[in-house]
Amino acid sequence: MSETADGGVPEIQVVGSNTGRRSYNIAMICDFFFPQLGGVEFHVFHLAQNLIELGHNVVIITHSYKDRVGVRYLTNGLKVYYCPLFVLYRETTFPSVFSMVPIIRHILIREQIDIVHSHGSASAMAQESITHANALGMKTVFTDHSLYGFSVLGSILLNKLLLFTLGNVDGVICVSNICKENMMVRCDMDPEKLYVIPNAVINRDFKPSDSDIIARRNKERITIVLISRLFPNKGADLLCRIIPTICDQHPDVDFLLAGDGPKFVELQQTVESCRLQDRVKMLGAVPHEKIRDVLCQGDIYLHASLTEAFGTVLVEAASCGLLIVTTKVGGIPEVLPEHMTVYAEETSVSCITEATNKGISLFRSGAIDTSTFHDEVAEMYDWMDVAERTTHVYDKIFDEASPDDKDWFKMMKNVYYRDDGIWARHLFVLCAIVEYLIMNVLEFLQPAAKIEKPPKWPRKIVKKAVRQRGSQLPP
Amino acid sequence: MDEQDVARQSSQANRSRKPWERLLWLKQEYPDNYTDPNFVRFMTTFPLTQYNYDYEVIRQDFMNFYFIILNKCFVFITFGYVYDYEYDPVPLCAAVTFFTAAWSIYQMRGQVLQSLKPCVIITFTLLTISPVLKSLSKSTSSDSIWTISFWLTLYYLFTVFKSMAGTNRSRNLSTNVLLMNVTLLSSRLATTTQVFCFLLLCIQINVILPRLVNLSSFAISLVSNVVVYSYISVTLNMPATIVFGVFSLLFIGVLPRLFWYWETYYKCPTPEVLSFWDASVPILD
Repeated sequence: MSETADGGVPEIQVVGSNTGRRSYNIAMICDFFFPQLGGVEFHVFHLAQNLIELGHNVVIITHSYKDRVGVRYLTNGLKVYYCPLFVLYRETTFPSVFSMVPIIRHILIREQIDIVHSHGSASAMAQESITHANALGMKTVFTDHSLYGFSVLGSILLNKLLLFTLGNVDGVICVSNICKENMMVRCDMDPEKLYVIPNAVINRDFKPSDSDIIARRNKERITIVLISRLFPNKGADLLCRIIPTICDQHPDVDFLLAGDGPKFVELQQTVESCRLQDRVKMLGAVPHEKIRDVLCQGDIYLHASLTEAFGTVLVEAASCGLLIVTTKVGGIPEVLPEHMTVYAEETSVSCITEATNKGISLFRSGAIDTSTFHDEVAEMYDWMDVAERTTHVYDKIFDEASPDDKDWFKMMKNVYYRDDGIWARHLFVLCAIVEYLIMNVLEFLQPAAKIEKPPKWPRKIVKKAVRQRGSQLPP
Repeated sequence: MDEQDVARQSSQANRSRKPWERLLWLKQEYPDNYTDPNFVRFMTTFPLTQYNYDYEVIRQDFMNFYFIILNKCFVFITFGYVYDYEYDPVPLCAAVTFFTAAWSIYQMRGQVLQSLKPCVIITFTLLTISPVLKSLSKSTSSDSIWTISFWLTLYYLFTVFKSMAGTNRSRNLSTNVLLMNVTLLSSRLATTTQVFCFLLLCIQINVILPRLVNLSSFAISLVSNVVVYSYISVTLNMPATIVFGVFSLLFIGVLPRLFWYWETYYKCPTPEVLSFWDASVPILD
């Protein structure tokens, strides 16, 4: 893989299996990554792992976390660059347009990157590096994980910024259809460039064990599980009213709550004032590897969120064999089939209580068989499927590219026509010009040809060696 | 094969395919960049009405706010008059009281007796509490009083801003904040008479008169501007007056235009239609 800077199509290599497919050098860039844990972090990690499995080279670029600075290797030789950048707020780096140029340029050239794949609108690193990668002539892909409105000042400014950074992006991946439509309106993008590829879960990590199934069968009481960061937008205010009502109506129903947040104390006070300590167990923050254990103790999963682009936790809960009772906001109706879910029509206490009652009666009457849920979900969501679909996006980008896509003048023209505002469009052009100037200065100070190229992780050789050794072993 | 054949073939292929469903869990024979046709239809048909904000209304709101700030300045002018320049406040107080009384009698001819009662009550209350207020926060250092007064002034402007949006409660709140500020300042005055006069003046100028006269009328605004800028130039200096003047002009001349521009071009034209991407509002019924 050497044809990168001029935007050429990467050569076809035979990797892993017998199928011929292109092998790309991919850089995933996001502010949010391990050791921090969360939806985006898991997405980046699992996608990278599965792309490696498909024979691509993946590096991850993020900012440093405390003393975790420099290059680290994770499972399967996944190389992570922890860049020493200034973190402003909630693990997001300081949003500047050019401050990361030297380090990002150096890493991208050093790793001979073909595709820069950034994640998250809220990540300053992700947005900034797209413009740098475009200036370096690399293909760029952006994945959006959240929904943004149009009436809050923060969203308006972020949307404006996205107009600029995504001006020359080659493809955008959204986690649900509603997320795609949101992106279409926010960034005024060609729908052909927007792909919908959902999140997935590791099915073996969310599989109820035999003992769980037996325990669930022999249980007389019904347990409703809630896993949520207790923020107002996750419906914590609704939960404060729903839990006492349900407990009042059904003496054989218990609650199990995992998650922490600003509304934790309020919820705790509600539980105490209603004297429900015996029936409502509040676990606080639970590490991700323990989520399965929490889910498997329950029968029904209650989700009262007020906004959701995808809702991975719903898939996790269904995979553990829980009946889902949820609000119908954002991308939630797209995620699971009807027979696994009971929807509340409105985000109101009465509607969610009614839906929960329906869920409880379905469960009591035995009209629903949740034991098949795990296998069904395993058929629906798989990270390898996500990785393959992402690879198709990469292939399509290279196939449909025209030679002047990354021409500096053309890109400048693109950003100029992105916005009607007289101030914005001139600011965009000014930023583009400064970016190109900086690139020229850096090329003079540190020519791309002189940046040393590190050896790739010897994954394929190891795999081949293992396979050969495996064939010599007695059956 | 001509174009028509291609089109016919593709439409046949579309017919043989199952219709697209808006589901993520279902594996469908459609590419990942397929767009929901309903959404495209929705986006092309919803009425894109751009809001026409009346610039005149926005400008008037900014002007009204400016006059309220000028009006608020009278608290400090009165305070400076009594505290810094040590003038006798009684003649001024008498004059303003006479003017207020005359004006309110003129405006409320039929209800003089009715409005007389609260006036008497307020006056006697002030007389009673003046000595108390004078010594109430005497032990606090003057620097602290100035600082608290500064923040209370900002808070007052904020509450006025809120009350312009229109609830009775916030209007009461702004009056209370003003009284709190005046009470604090009065502890710096030397005699009970000064405290009484200062309180009475402030209540009349900031609470009663704005309800009787139109602050934005030409005569009143002219008097307010002349008094405030004269006071600034006499007490501080000419450059300070120019700075204040420039800021005022920016506030009443440039900011309304910027605000109008923001509302018209940057705020989403149809937030009701596009609100389904916002977080839902929890209904606590």
